[in-house]
Amino acid sequence: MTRKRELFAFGAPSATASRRQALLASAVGLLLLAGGAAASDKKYAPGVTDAEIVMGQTMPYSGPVSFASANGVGDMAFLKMLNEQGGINGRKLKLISLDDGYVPPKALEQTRKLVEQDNVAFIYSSLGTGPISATAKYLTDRKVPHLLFNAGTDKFYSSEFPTLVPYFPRYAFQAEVLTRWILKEKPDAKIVCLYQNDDFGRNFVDGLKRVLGAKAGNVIKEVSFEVRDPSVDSQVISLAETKADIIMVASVPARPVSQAIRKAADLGWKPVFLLMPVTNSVETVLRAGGLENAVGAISAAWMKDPSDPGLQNDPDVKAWNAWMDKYIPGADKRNNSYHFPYLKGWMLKNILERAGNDLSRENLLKVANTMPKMSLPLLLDGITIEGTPELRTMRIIRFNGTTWVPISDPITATQ
Amino acid sequence: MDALLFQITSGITTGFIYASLALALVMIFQSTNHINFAQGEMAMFSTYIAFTLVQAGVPFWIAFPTTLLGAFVMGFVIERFVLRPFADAPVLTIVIVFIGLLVIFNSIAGWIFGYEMQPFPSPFPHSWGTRLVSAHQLGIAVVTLSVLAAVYLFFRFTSLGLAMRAAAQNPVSSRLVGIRVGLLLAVGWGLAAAIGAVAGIMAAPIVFLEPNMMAGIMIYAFAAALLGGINNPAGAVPGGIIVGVLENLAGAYVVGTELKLTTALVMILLVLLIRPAGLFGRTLRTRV
Repeated sequence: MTRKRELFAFGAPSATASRRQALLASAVGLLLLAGGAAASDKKYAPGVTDAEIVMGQTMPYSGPVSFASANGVGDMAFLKMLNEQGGINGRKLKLISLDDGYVPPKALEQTRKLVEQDNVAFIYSSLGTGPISATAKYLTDRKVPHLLFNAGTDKFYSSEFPTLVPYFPRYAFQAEVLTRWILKEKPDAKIVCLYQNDDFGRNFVDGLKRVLGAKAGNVIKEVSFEVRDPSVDSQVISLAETKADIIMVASVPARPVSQAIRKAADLGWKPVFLLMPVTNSVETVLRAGGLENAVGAISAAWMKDPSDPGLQNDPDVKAWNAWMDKYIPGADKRNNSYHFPYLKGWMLKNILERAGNDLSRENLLKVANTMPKMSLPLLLDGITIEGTPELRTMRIIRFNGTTWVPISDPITATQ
Repeated sequence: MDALLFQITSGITTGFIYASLALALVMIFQSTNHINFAQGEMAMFSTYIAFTLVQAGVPFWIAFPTTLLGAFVMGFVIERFVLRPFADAPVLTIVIVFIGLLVIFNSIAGWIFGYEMQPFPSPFPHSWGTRLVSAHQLGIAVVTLSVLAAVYLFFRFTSLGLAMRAAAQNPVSSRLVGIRVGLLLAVGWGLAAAIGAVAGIMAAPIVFLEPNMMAGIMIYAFAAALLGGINNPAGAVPGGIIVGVLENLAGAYVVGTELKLTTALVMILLVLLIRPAGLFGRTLRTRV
């Protein structure tokens, strides 16, 4: 209904349309407007009926980061579980998940298709800085919520994009929590940075220096790498020369982190590795670099890594394993793209439950941004969300050779 | 000073990897005048085969030749059934077929083996290594030089090698003296795929095994092949080593790491502009 109304509204003032046509169009438009008003009494967004809620997303099912498209598979599996349990308030959930190839223009095209042709109620958890950048303004203009998007780039968290609802802690928060640990535990340590040469890497290096403040001079060397570089050995050799105490490695792919851990050990350099939460998995990152070489590494965490060998008796991890075995049998459980959908799936469930029968886009946004204080499956002990679903609280963890162990109380990012 | 030595040895190691893949590129270029853009992905796929065999308990030094044989068959079959129908097609068509192969291999590998990075064990005993040169670095040098020697001996001293050289240089005359040019083209593809598999298996312990592992290496291998002379297999090794060392030194001391990958691209451009035959290539003149 909404879509048609807008088409007529745009068509009416056209210079080529005759006066008669314009009048006719206005009249039809008015009629539709009235129809729209009647529908809105029921407080349903497009795509919502008494029986169903339709949502959409785009995922990089093809292209360079296709490993992350497991997020879409995980989202589907979680909704399937909810539907088998009767759906939410009697409504079944339907997710249309389209391929964007990690190409921003394609993400926009597919998102427009979802909104304008498939009439989805909202976008659920599309993935990646590029695709989300490309669609943020369109969704904001259209007032279509994008709930629990998958990216940590700081600019998406501004009031410029009020329909974007985060759950992933922004990179600035992650950098802040890690840096506060340095300031408290190793204030005089010499620090070097190995960072991915893009917004992600630079966000972390800038965040580190900003929080260090007067101590920013402790960062004595910064070296970048390209995601396509076959090896970062050369960079690590340059950094090892400084004999620094701490090396921060800011990377999205696992390879540079594993290579840095191994090369430092080969060179006989034993710094403390400061690893980003996205690349600290025991199984996919540390094992390749050598578990014995990674002992003492520091990172921040808000959720349990269900593939961590030390957590297999944890009740949350057991529940996650049962869910995986039932809904995505045979999948590689080490891929963290299967971990996030489970966590944010519970957030979505909570939002839709509290929205009740007022499933208008306005109310969905309002409910999503006023979460009660709550803990969720797979969150570390002591970590909760409140207000927006964004996770602001983390704990510092240290690698002991087999598993990550929390070594700090929850730290809440403030800046 | 210490760091400089490490930069050079690390550059030589990666240089040998570039050299093996460059050798595979040169093999196909010699017989068909085409650059196979899918060479890196075919190598990656072969490496997964080796990995699967090793995972299944096959000892490495049995899995290695088995994989090379498998790669040979793969290359042979691709030439016969995918490339042959386009034998007389314009160059652009062939390029598109190569890019298609690249995407297909990449996606199939991800689909079958997953996108998670796998550690790949080095087959060389640790005791070989020193602080400056690790066992694997030494092993790569030995293996790459052996492959080069084998290629040389094969072309120089076997009748099949002679026939392949003839088929590449003058297909019409070769056909007239009874050489099956078409079959030998496929054999050439098979050999290139096997050499690529060596490159993949040697690279995997360093870059780790994942479907995109060869993407960066392919750019450097291309630079190495051009620098060494795209029509001279022996040039691939010095080409690879020069690219590997220059890349490290330029990144660490001259242009900075931001332009490390760009260095390879600039090298490609410079060679094409100044000396298209490369350092060790033959300059071809076509008489009309």
